Amino acid sequence: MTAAERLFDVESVGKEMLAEARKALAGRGREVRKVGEAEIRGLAGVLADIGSRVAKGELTPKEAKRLVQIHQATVASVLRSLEGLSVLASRDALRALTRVAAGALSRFLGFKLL
Amino acid sequence: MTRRIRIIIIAAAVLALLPGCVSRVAPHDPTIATGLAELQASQTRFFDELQRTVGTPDAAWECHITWYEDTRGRIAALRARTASSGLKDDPTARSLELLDGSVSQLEEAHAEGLSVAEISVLRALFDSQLRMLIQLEAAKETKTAEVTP
Repeated sequence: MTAAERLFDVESVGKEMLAEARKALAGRGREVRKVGEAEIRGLAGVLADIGSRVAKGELTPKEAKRLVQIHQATVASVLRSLEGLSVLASRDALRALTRVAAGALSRFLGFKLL
Repeated sequence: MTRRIRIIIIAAAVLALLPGCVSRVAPHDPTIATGLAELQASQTRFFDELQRTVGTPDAAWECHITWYEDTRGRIAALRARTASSGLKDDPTARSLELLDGSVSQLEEAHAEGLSVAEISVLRALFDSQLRMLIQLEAAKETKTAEVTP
């Protein structure tokens, strides 16, 4: 595989990453989606940068390999943080729902439930 | 089924969902927020110095052993703090675990010698991990403030 082909592969992976992230973030809150997409786009750019530097001879394959390993850990870490943000967003929605449900229940029971 | 019973069942189901959702993320901890901010500042200084000294003996791993020890210590303290929440799969705890692993990988690479090109990529990756961790902790604070009368 030539350096140019390697670059192409890395860029494809970057695009796939973004597409997968969009799918994963589709059901999340708007704010989480916005933050998540921006971060994953940045990480896809870093991956493309690694490929580009390999093609230019600025990075050796060995250096690129260890950078990609740290990149993978970074993606996993970022996704974990996004998961946390998503849970917080869901918690907000659920709290709002709870207030409504508790209000309805209280009206029927005749006393304040929450 | 009467309307009243239906409403009671739906409301009870919504109320039953709340604890399951809340328990998946540890509450905001100012010590963790401060620790993450300090870690980010320390990391910025580390990469600034590496970028300034790369190619000279001052960039060698041996000159930065203290930083690695200090960073591992800081992350260990934060991980211990998150562990005290008692949540097995807390996102902050898992992200810190991954950051810890990344620091070990960085140190291994550093011991073998880092190139100029590697340093800028590494900086972007570590920035990303810490930025998101800080953002998550900040979001917890906001949410905590919203529900505190």
